Amino acid sequence: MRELRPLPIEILALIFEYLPPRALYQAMLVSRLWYVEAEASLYTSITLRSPHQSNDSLLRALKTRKRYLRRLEWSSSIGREVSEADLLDILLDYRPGEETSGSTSSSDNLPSSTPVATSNAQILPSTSPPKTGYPLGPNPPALRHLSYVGCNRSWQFFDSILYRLTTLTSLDLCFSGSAYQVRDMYVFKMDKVLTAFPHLKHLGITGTMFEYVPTTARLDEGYNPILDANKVEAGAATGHGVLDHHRLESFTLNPVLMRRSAVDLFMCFRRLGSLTKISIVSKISCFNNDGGDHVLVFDLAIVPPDKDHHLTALVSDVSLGEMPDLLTKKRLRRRLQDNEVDELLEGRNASPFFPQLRKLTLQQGHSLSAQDLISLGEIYDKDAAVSATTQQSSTWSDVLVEHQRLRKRRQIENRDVMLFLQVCSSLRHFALTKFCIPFEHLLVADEDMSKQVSSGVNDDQGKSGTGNTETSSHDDKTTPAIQPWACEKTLESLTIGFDIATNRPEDHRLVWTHLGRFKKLRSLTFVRYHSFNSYHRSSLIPSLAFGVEGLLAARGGGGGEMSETLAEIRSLPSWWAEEGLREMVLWFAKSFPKLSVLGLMYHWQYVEGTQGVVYARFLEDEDVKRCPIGHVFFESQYSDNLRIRPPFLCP
Amino acid sequence: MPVILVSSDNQDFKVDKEVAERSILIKNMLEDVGESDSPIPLPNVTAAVLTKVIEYCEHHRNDPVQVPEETDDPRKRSNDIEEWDMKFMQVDQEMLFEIILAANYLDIKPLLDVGCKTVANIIKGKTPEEIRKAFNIVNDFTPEEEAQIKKENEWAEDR
Repeated sequence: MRELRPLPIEILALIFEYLPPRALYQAMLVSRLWYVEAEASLYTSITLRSPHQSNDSLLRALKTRKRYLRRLEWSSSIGREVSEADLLDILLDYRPGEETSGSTSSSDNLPSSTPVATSNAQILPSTSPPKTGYPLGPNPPALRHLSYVGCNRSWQFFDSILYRLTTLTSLDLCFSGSAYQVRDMYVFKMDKVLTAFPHLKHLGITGTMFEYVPTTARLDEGYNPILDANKVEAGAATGHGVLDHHRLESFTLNPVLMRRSAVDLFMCFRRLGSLTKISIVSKISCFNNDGGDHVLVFDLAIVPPDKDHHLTALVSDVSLGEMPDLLTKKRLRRRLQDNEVDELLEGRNASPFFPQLRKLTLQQGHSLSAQDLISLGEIYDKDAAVSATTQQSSTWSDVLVEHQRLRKRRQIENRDVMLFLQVCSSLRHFALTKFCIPFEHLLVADEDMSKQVSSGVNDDQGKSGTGNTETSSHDDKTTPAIQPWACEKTLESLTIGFDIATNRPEDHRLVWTHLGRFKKLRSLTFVRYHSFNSYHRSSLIPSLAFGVEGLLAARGGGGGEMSETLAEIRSLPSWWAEEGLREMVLWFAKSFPKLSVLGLMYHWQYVEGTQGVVYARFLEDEDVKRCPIGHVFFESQYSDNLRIRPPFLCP
Repeated sequence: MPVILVSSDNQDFKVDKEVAERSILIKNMLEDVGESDSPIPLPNVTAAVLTKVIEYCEHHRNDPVQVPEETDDPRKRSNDIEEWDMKFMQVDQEMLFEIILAANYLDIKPLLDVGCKTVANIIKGKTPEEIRKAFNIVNDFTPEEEAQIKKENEWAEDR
């Protein structure tokens, strides 16, 4: 066998990044060269979960190799397999009782590491850590990522370690266990975390029980959260702020872990202007019963504190100590929030909380409130392209919490959605899944505005010669028109439903023409939402008689720009006629060369009894089968719940 | 505009600039030199290897520029190789190593990643002796050293 050119050591290290611990263990035993690289790789990322029979061996080895450690996932309860001393040794290189830590001995002279005595017996003499936190030993690991799951009992101890780990760029804390009284809860100091970890890019705080910094404690320390929030604002503007914006880019949180009573949330969130990703995890496994309000991440004043004269007036009118009480008065707070929205609609200036935000994920049990939606729109954020996903509430506790929240937050109304779409200029993905927009709400309400908009539409279409007659009337003051959306140039995927109660073709054509204005739309899905007690489906009819060719009308009769981009249509209404479905499919195939998926909205009539066979027969038509759209099918209304799945029904 | 690359064994390869620029090394060179039709010598890459590398770059010429993903875990997955790439990497071990070395030298990160994943997949599931055999490596441990490594790292054996 020919001698292989050996791989350089740096490439060996790259290869080892792809190996799991058990493969690295084998690689260590190959040769001395491999041992050096495999050992470093093995101890770079450690996951310690209990119970595990080999944790003892892992801890022993890790203590002499902690210099390699960059990522640690620790979900082992302290006191059973692992002691506090183990944590101090591994994270801080600190061993109580040892004045001079010789520290990392290990395998520099291969393989001569002297195992440190097993530590299960090493329980610290005192369970209460020093007030200033434990000191660092001489050679602590340069830890980048820490994920820690702990129960309430261990948090006080962990707190005395955490703030020493200043090299962290990613921190995930998960609070497990339970506390039945507020005084037992761990107090997470958000502002302290932001100050202690200047390099932090990801922060996750999830789990069941813990409390955000209590207001009383903070006010005792004599600072004014609202005024300090203004300092952050001013600092950001001048570059000489008391507190600068933090570089945190990703924030995962369980909102029930934070409480409204902490007014200084304003200040913390003001510092998080670099966030590009917010993920709200809301698996709620406990329910607080002490009357405190849950706080959600966007449950923030829309107008910044220094610009909100209501709140500013409130601050000057009352003593600081009274303010939290005032803010918890629901009626008062609601009035303030309503005022904010009104001012916003009047065009009052406001600044974004999260100007860089690119991705917002709301899991289980959340819906955006109107204030949240507005705060994500262009009024706040000229550059945000927000992809928001909401899912349906599923458990009773979720519903209760959501109900509590919505009592103080106004629910989304059509005007909010319209406002959002009209102002958010760089939106790329938008999904509105729970209801359909009534046709009337799409229309420009103001008559003068209506005239302007409709003449604007005519400008676009005038050259084509196919401009629709409904919008081209010059003297009819009541000509309906749809206010353009700001995201026409950027939107790539749209899920939406239109509730058009009339069967007047001109109404449908107006909406199709409106949709035809998008320049980059790749995916269009119509709402088809079915729940226990309600059923919503888009009633926009896609036939030539109802003006579907409006989709191509925006840029002349030769075809709109959407004909170059549209690749997928889902839940296209198909209940409107028995005849004409074949022509509709062929028209879409001809007009949109890139269209490869066409899902037709399921309707019970199509699949039950003999009628179903008749309705679906057009799918067997040779022209339909041969058309360039590769995938034409009926979608299930109930997704996977259909017991009988006819062959033409695609999952 | 085409670019001429010269292998270590003096063979010329005419490739589109767009394809050549999948290599960051070449991209930087072209930027430094500016508009020029003088051939670019690649003294570390033989013609056989360069042919393979160009084949890869041709296939991936339209791929978006890879943004280094800030991942939480330094331990990466090796089972997500695309089908074409997997077939492309079905070469003898010598060529596999040469491709990796060339990708490293030419600074073609996606190719280097695929190469490393392929080698990682070869290592997975093998005993030390099988690995030595596969990569033609001599065991330079004493039995005592081997025993001690096993003992100290035994936790990793089953994870």
